[in-house]
Amino acid sequence: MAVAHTTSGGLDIRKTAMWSFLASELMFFGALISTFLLYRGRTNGGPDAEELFDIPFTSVSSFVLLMSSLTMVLAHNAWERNDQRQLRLWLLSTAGLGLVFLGGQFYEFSTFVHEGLKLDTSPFGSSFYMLTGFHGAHVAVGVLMLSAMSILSFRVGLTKSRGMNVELVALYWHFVDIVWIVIFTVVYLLQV
Amino acid sequence: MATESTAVETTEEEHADHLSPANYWMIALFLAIVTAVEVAITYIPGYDGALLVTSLIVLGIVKFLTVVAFFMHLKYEPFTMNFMFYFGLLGALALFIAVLLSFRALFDTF
Amino acid sequence: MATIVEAPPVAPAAPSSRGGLWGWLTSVDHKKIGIMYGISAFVFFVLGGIEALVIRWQLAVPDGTLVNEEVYNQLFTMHGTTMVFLFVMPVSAAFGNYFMPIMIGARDVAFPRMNALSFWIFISGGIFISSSFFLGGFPDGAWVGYSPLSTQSEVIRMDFWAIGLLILGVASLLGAVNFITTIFTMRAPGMTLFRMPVFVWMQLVVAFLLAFSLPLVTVGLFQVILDRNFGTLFYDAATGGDPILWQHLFWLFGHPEVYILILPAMGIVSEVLPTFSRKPLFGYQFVVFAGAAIGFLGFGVWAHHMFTSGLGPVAETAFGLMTMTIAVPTGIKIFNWVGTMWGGNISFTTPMLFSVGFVAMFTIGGLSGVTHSIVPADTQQHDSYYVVAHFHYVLFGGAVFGVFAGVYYWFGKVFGRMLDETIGKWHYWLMFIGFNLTFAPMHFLGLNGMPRRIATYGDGLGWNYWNFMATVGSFVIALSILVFLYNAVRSYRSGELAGPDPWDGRTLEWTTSSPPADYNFAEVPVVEAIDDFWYKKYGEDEDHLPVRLDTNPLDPSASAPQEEFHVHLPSPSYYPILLAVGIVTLAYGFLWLPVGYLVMAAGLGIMLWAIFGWAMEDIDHPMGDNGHGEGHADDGGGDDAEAELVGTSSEGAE
Repeated sequence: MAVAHTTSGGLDIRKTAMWSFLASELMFFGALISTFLLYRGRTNGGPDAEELFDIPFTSVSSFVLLMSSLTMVLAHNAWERNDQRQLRLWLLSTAGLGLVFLGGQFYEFSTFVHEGLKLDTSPFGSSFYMLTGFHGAHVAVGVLMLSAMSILSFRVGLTKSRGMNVELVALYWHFVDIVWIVIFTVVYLLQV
Repeated sequence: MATESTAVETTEEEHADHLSPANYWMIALFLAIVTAVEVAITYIPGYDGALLVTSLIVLGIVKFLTVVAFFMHLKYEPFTMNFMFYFGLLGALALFIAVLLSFRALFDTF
Repeated sequence: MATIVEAPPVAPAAPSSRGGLWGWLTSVDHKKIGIMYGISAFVFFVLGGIEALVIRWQLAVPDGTLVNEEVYNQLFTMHGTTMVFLFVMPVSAAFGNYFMPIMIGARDVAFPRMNALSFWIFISGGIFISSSFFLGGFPDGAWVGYSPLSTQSEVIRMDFWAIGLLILGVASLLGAVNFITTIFTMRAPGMTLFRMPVFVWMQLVVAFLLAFSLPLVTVGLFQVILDRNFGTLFYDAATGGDPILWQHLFWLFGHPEVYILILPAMGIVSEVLPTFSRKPLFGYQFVVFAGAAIGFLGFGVWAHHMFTSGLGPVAETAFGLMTMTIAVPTGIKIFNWVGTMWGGNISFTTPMLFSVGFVAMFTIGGLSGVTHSIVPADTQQHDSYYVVAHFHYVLFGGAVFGVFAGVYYWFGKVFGRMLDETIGKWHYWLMFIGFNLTFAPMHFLGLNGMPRRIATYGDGLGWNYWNFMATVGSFVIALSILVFLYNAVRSYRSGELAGPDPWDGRTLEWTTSSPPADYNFAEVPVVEAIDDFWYKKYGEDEDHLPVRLDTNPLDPSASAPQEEFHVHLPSPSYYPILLAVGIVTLAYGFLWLPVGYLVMAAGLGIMLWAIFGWAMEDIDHPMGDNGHGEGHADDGGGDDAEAELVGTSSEGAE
């Protein structure tokens, strides 16, 4: 029956859209990371990466975000099995871990500002805050979407037939995680 | 499965349950270990310079691809989606390496 | 104009007669959205044209006094910005929206509401940038917005520019994602990728170019906005920032953008030439691959815009070579177009004239483009009128001629009545002469040393004669546009009825009624070949000449009132326009902080309302009404494509 839907190779419409959007986002973060790499040494007399970065702390928040990918994929799995209880549990855990990460980023930013790195201190500071800030904004949007999903799951239940939005949110969330994997390596570990 | 353009015949149902929660826990454990190794090698005295940089980049790529392939299920998706994402990834890499090279900003301080 | 198909032309129901103003504002029909894109693009075309006329009037004689330098800067900035972002891009989106789904045998795009959102964000962004005229003056840092011109002026004009382009970028990105998804997932049975019309292929390449290039300029624009408003130092050379980074980010986007502008026109021409040569497109696969190659290589040549910025000999050599390489696929296309016409049974209708004009003018523009790849020569030509001549030959002689070919080709399909051919030929020849009179002299002016972006020039430099001729030419172009507008209004009211297939066409849009039914096809077509419609109309005799078959491959809706077929369609929605209003409110608020915080809060509130309403819309009003029901209640950002499009005539016509 579903004539228009299945004729072109069984590609899922929403997932195709999401992957093309994520490919586009790769370019976005690529440009931000490149800006940072260009400006990493231009400290204009302000503090540099080595003075500021607290690798043990960032490692912990990276670990938190990495584990949120696990809880997300478990939520996705529960959704595929139509297990509403597990779905809720893992959605809320993912949102919670996201909030922990954001809290860590807030703490990190305020420490850095305290130590003298502001948005207008140096091109290094500008590009660092812009990159990590845009990543944080992506996490925040993800947390909002996860919360909305959780509320919906309590009110109406997220069945597989009801769109494929848990899957879309999951793709988005994992994407935010892989961007952080790159940032953690390139921006933090390689700079100290 | 769908690495060729045979993706035309791939339907969604086929890949739905390739991995179980137990698999996901194992993958997460693997990712955690890689992260621990990443952090640890930055503290090993004498393990620095090009060796450290190369190790960190390789480990980062391993983590990145693991999440993409398994958590995002891209390994089990049709060719079209793989193509879009990896094409974008390689394109972004190539473009930005070129830009940074033109500023001579890539190899001077690593 | 051979109207061979026997079906009587159905008197067109003017699209505007269905649903009234509210119907247009809330429409999610790709055809209505396409028409709105087209009309708003032409409004911006006229605005950008008026700016160009003022520029030419100022430069007609030495020491012109019509406008001062400040106003002149605003004029050329807005002329470029308007023509690139508010005319050529949306007019390509207009054709893509209207015809891409029909040409692949779909009933709509994959995400109809998101499609409406693209349009409304585009129009809000266009109004936002243009409204700067009343709020302190047009942007004045040139359409390329080089820092420090974009970052160090105090007035908010360049904020309008940067934020406006961000808004337009969102519209284009949504459109690109929508088109990619539509082309990959919504094709009719049998419509394999290599049976798609070249126009659809070019739309696909353009969608990828947009998806991959827009994020780059988005980052640059954010950096400009942050530098201007939050004291960041991205482009502040005194503290270690590097304005050259902006040039990279801008041209990493800007060069693919050039192909975003030209490829849809190439697609249109690749449809028009075979139709009026009554031959298949010569080397279909080569044209497709050349288009994809142009898109791919287009990402590797951006730095040829920056040869004078001191890239160093290695980079200059590499980018010079890449730039020469990109002429190869372009040349392949030109040869294929000529090969299509060769030996064909050519009828020189107006769309054909514009297409042939396109091929000729684009070839000239392409050749002058190759001269830029030679670095020492480019260093001389840089920022001179030679460059202005070059890109007007590819963008006006190319893109605009292609657009008008498309307008004359498809007007009858869209509005049910044909544009007048006699007036159309007047339009063509006036435009052709005016165009060449305006821009050919600029080659000489540039090589004689006249820099671009100067408000006036002194007497005795040897530039007087050609500048005056260029001004005369520009007013001839303006006259040709007036002729076109007269033709459009007149033909819309009382033109000859088009019927389903006025040009004896080759592609699926000609199987539908003119204008097509809301659902496009009463029966989803089954495709068996490239140019499927043609081969269902014509067989071959022993000399390989086409012989009319005794068939009627038209869609049933072409010969019956569309109400006879009950095809389920997506419901209209006012959330797209609401969301766009929210976004533009947010943008206006940002310009006048701190008072603007209130406006921004209002904008955010509207956006949240729209997003929430959008997400809940399908749950509260399930769209299924006749049982084809699993999987169409949608609670997230995506529209409900499968549910909307499964209603077929076999179900509806019971």
